[in-house]
Amino acid sequence: MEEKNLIKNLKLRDEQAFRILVDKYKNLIFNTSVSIIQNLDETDDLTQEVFIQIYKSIKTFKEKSSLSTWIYKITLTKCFEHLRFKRRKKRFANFVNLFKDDGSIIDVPEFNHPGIILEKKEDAKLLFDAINQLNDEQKSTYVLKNIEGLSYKKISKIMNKSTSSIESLIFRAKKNLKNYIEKKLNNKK
Amino acid sequence: MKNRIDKIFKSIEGIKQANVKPFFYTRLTSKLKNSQNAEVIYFKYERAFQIALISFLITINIFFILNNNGSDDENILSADLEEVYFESNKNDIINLTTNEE
Repeated sequence: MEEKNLIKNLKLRDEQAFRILVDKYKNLIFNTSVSIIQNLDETDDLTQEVFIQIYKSIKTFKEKSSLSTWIYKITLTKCFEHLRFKRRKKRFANFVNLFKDDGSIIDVPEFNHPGIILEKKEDAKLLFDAINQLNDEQKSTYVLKNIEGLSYKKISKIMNKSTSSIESLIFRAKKNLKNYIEKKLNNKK
Repeated sequence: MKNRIDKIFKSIEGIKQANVKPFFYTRLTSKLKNSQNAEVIYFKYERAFQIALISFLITINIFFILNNNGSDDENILSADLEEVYFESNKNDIINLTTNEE
């Protein structure tokens, strides 16, 4: 189904069109979010949330950008909303623990990207730890460019920024990643 | 060190696409239906909630307006008290001056 027809049918609440949309974009949403959220179960839930948001707001989509650009925007917004919520929850849990310390430790599961081959897993884990330390903008641009393999032009459309600002964001992201990795490697020695 | 860092950066080269868990569409449609049901309940009681809220606000307004009118008497009373107080002060001053004499 052509994109224009797909959007038109989605606006008419056609179930077949929704199924096509899900099949076409589920992996795009899942792969973008998994690198940002770094938790497989939470990413699966978030992918569903993104589709629910698309279903609810497709009528407001003005088609000024491509459907995929719009979906990327929703995905990134949902990812950072989720991370902010998680940080708030963690702060609250820490605060509660000050008064009620039962000796339990909050266990943060280790993240291993499912698309990385075994021999690179150790290095990739360190890189994903470093990505997790970046701010929202640097994290988004780095993931979209280096993991999703999008062009600067596409990223600039998704993030509503000029191509040169995207380039500078990626440059700063790489610099910060390098500093973090260097520090980690020096600590290991 | 530089080579080690480059190797770490290159670890995501050729990364494979991860796939969603099985039965994704089924789970999604059931979640979508649940969220729609929650919305239906909200919209069903939305009008009743709005009317109750507006009535509450109007009642509060009426209560304060009536209370304000009632406080006019208090204002008159406080004005009277001020008058008595200043009058008594004046008398004190007169008394003091008469004592000096």
